[in-house]
Amino acid sequence: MNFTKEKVTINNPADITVILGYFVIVIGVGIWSMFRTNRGTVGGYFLAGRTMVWWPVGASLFASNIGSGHFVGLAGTGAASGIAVGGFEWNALFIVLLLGWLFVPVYLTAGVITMPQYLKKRFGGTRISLYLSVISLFLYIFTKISVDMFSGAVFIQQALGWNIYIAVIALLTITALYTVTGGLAALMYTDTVQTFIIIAGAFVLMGFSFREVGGYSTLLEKYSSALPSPSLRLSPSPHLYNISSACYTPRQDAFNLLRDPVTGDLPWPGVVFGIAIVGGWYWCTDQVIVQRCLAARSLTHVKAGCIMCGYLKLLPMFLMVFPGMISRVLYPDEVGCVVPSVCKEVCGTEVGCSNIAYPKLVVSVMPNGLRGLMLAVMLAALMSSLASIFNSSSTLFTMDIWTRIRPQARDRELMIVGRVWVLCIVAISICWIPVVQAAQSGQLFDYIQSVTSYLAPPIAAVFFLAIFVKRVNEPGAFWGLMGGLLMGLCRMGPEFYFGSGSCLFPSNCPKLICGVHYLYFAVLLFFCTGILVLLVSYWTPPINDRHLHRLVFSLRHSKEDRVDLDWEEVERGRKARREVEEKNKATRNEENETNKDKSAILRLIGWFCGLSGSQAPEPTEEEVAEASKQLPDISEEPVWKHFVNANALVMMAVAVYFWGFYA
Amino acid sequence: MFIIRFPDPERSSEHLHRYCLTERRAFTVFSSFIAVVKRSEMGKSVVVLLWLLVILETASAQAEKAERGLPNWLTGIIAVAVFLFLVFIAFLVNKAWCETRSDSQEVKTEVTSNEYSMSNGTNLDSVRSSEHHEAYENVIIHKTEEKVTVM
Repeated sequence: MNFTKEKVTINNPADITVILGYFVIVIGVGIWSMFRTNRGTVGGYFLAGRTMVWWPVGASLFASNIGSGHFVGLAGTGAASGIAVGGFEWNALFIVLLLGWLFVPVYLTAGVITMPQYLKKRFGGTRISLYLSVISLFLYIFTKISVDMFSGAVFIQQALGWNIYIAVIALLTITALYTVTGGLAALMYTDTVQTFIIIAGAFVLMGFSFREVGGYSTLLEKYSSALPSPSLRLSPSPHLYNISSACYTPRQDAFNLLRDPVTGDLPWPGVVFGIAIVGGWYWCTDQVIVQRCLAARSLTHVKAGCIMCGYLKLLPMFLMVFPGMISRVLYPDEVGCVVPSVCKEVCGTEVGCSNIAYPKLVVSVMPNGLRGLMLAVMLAALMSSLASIFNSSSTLFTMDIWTRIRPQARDRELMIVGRVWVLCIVAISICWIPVVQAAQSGQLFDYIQSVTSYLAPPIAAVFFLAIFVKRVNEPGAFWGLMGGLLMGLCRMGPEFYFGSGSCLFPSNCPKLICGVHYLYFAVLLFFCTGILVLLVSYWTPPINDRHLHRLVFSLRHSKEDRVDLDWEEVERGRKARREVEEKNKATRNEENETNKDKSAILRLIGWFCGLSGSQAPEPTEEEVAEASKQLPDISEEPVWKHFVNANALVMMAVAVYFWGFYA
Repeated sequence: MFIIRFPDPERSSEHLHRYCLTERRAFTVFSSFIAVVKRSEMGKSVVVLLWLLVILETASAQAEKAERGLPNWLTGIIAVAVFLFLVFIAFLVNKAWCETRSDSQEVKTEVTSNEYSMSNGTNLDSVRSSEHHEAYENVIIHKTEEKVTVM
């Protein structure tokens, strides 16, 4: 048992040049896009002025979805149990079409910026939107950010041997810098660059690893015999525990996407329906993704972007899952380790070392220079998804929570609050590192998966019904969400208490609670919430049609006037802002002569963040009435409409082919 | 009869053994259940049904094995064919659905257009392009580069 611990510090000139080149490109694109859009308004900063064309939309959808968590998690799970984990990616192909064709048209005609805002318009009241914004922020911090940082840390530790704190703080600082200064436009253009880098780098690694293992057919042959050497299979203390062969032999169905519904690790009904529901939450109702679509120029561009993202989502199976399996074939003793003490020596965790599959490949297979490229890839994945989460969470916070605390807040204040919140999130993420490090028992991934599949389905169900069923009303949606949350917590609590266990030491969670696969549970939760929502809705009075024009799918083309359910609150905010403006004008007239020049530094910061000194005056009653007559436009040119429809069909056919191929 | 490929001869026996074990267990469960049913005077038909279920179960399990023999690309092609067929059916249904709807819409528009057309014998609709719905109407196009969201 002698593992040569390669501490590869990147210190050769080729690697450093590549990394420097990467940073120059990203910062260059960030600065270039800063000048392209007006960042001083809410629409400009949070929605990129609604001027994006299809390719930044598609690339940005992809880049904000693919994080470093995918590289570590997909490759790791692929190494441990085969290609079924790719179902998570390939399911998204269909869900992303659902987003472009069914959900975004409604969001566009509703004229909203955030998802809680949509629910507020659709149902009225404030409790639903408050619940949604709080739970979204919770999920961002405890699942998305931590999973990305955890896997980034794994990579940096394994491949580079850098200090995690310094590395992560530096990364977060750069990310925060261009999120704060540029707004969504800068983000989406840099995301496009990041997508190129991610795909190019991952392709190079895939090529090298397939050459190393000897081609695809050799992988098929060798994977099932990728066992750790016999001396590493025996328990060092047989009186305490035995190692059954099931714990270290690769699964028989490793090359099947659809597995046995009862005994499989990812049963096929769960893979088909459960992932679709969790994916429905992620792709169709979550701020991070929807915000990118709302920034598009027109609905056709949204759809084209979704198709592009769909095609790109075909790749992770080949770029991440297969290399992970190759890694197990090449390094069965390390990646496929089974004895806890050995695992501890290899990667620092006792449960298993499948998470190091991808970093191990990078370190061992790639030559100088290209290793730097792979680091750039990981940085790109990490930074793009973190930056998206930063931007979206700041949008949520500003638009939904801050406007509630201070209804008189005007554009300029909102801009500043949004940027300050990004800094807060960065601080929280940095404080989160020790927790992430402590939780490096290899189980973090399980927890995160369970957190998502126990909390997300009720949200997906409520959005789905809100958009497609006119009859659903406020009490129905609220009690549905609460009931769903309760059910989810009933499952989550015991799982956290008992732990999810490992192959050697299964958890002693009672079968009744933890026996149901988490994907099955997601389906169950989705339908229970849906039924609850419908039941309560039919018990209580319906919402009149005049409040729902252009807020539900069946009325999306309606041209009637809508009486917003939240108009009182909006009106109150507008009145408060107008009063503040009046007051400001009065004081400014007095101070005008005395205090004309601000300090140079303040002005520089203001310019850097795109905050112009003057802001548009608050619209008067007449202007508001005029603006409300201008309906949002979701009409499409027939030619291009048919073109994107046909493309979507082709993409679905391709996806179905791949599903069939690996079924 | 059905060829089952095992990559490793050493482990194939182990796998077979495990498979047989689970099969036998399932069978004993079923037979005890059948015995219970017999005792509880539920009639022969239920027993027959249960036996049928058992047979179906094994048959489907074997069919699954047989399907594994198909090459990957063929399952892919079959899946695509089935998918396209479903899309075709959906398209037909949609077409039939929309046909009836647009008919009723056309009737409606004719009624409204007669309200404002001058009644000097000619009808505006006779010169109206049938393809473009608003071909002779002046459409105001708002084309601003950037839209500012109303707060």
